[in-house]
Amino acid sequence: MMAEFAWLAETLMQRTIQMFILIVLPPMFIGIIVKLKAVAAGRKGPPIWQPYLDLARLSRKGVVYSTATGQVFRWAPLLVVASSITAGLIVPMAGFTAPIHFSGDLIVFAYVLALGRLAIILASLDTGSAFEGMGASREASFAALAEPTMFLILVSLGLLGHADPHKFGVEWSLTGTLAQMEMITWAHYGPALLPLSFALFVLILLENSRVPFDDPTTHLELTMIHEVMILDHSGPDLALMEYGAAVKLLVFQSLLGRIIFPHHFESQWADVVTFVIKIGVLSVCVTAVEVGMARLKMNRIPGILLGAFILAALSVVVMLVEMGEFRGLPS
Amino acid sequence: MNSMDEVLLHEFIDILLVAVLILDLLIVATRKLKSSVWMNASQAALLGLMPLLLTGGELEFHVVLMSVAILVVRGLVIPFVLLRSVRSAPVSVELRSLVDQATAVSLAAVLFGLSFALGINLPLPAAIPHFSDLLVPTALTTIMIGLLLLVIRTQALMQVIGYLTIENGIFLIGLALVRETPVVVELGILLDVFVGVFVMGIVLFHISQAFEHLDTTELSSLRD
Repeated sequence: MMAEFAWLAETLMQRTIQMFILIVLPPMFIGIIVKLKAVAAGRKGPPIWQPYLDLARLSRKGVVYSTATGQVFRWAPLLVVASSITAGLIVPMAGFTAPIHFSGDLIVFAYVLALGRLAIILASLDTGSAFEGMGASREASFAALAEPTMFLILVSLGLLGHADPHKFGVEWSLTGTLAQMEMITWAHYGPALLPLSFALFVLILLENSRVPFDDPTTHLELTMIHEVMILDHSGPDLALMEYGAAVKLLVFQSLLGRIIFPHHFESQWADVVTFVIKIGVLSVCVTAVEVGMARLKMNRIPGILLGAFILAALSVVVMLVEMGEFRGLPS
Repeated sequence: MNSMDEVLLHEFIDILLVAVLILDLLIVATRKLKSSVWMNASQAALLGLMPLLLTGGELEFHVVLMSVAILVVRGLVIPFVLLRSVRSAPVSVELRSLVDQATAVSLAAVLFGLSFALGINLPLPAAIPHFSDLLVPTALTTIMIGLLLLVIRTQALMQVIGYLTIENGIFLIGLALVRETPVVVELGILLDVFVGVFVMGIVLFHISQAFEHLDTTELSSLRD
């Protein structure tokens, strides 16, 4: 009885921590990126809690709806936030098991995120503005190009969980794979995890509309992708859109952070601190890319995405080789 | 050596091979001449470490000599010779290519697929210690990428890079026989490559003196 109670208390604790990380922390990492970029450019920059103030300011304001928009436009911001948070609940953060985990949740993860993207694309088409239509078309085409990469990455992770399923018991699940990862996993499957990490990093930049695929600070509608799609949103709706984007960035970063440094500490608080440090380091990496290079010309993006696709495919093949799938072929 | 060291050594070899593959991809994708020279050099340097690893960390004199010679010649001397001829000749730093970047990367993707499909089914004799299943596919891919570079790049210098990339691939296959090959043969090959690049550097210099450009598509018709 006591053991069950302790287990329940521990699980409740872990769930609370994960919800706290997922819901409260995301704007801070956006703030860190903005701050670091400003510092790198020799400016002082806003404080790292500025995004919270922005969100608070926006949510106090009223909403303006264009007469051209319909229900889709009103529902989209909620859907975007809901999809980001649901995806976040499938990813194990800070070394805990994820609140939602079942066999095959890899695919749910990919498509819940795709649902949020669908909502934002439909909302931007709903405004009837030519600029927003252009942004939607770019978002949709790059997403279509990035989807195979995403799936190969998930297949590779699924195979990793498949290789040693008895430890956690859930196959083809993000929790099953990532929760059982240790530093020793790198010693066994490092050759597959190396290209996978590169491909996932490219995917983080694309999925979250960062440089070199899109520039979150641009002011010219013709060059925007994500920003142009939320041009017509105002007040709390805009706050939700921005917040959803911040959560999505954190979800992707926690996925990569777990793969790159999968160490479990004795104490779970040490795990939580390491997790925050990992996300911070990844935010610095994202900033380094933004500082170091300019946005790419649109027609060069498919080439880069294809490169990421090759890396992800390489990761799957190498994973199979490391698992010994190709041993004992007729010579 | 205990079994954990054994595993780590094996994985280190595989990580090096994957790094070689990533460099293959980057060298096709890059648009700068200088970076392709350095990518090729770092690929060769990674391969230079391979003989040490494949013999399982037991340092034999001729293997160490070979590694050091490769690191110095392929990793430092050849890139400096090539970059010197870039500086002295009026070559643009932007690469000229028959196809655009996206097409080049797609062709590379096809070649990756082909080489892996072939290479996985071509296991070398299992007698070789610390032999990796990725070795043959990586070697084939590198050779194919070298051939691709020879075809799509139209600058004479990039043809040298293509040739050196093929050399990297051939070296990888040769690694399987590292213990059996006399050191004289290996060093002889290295000397050949070095002299070859040297001669090519001189030829590039003369072409640039005579024609003011190094575009191979313009060098196809002969006159006297």
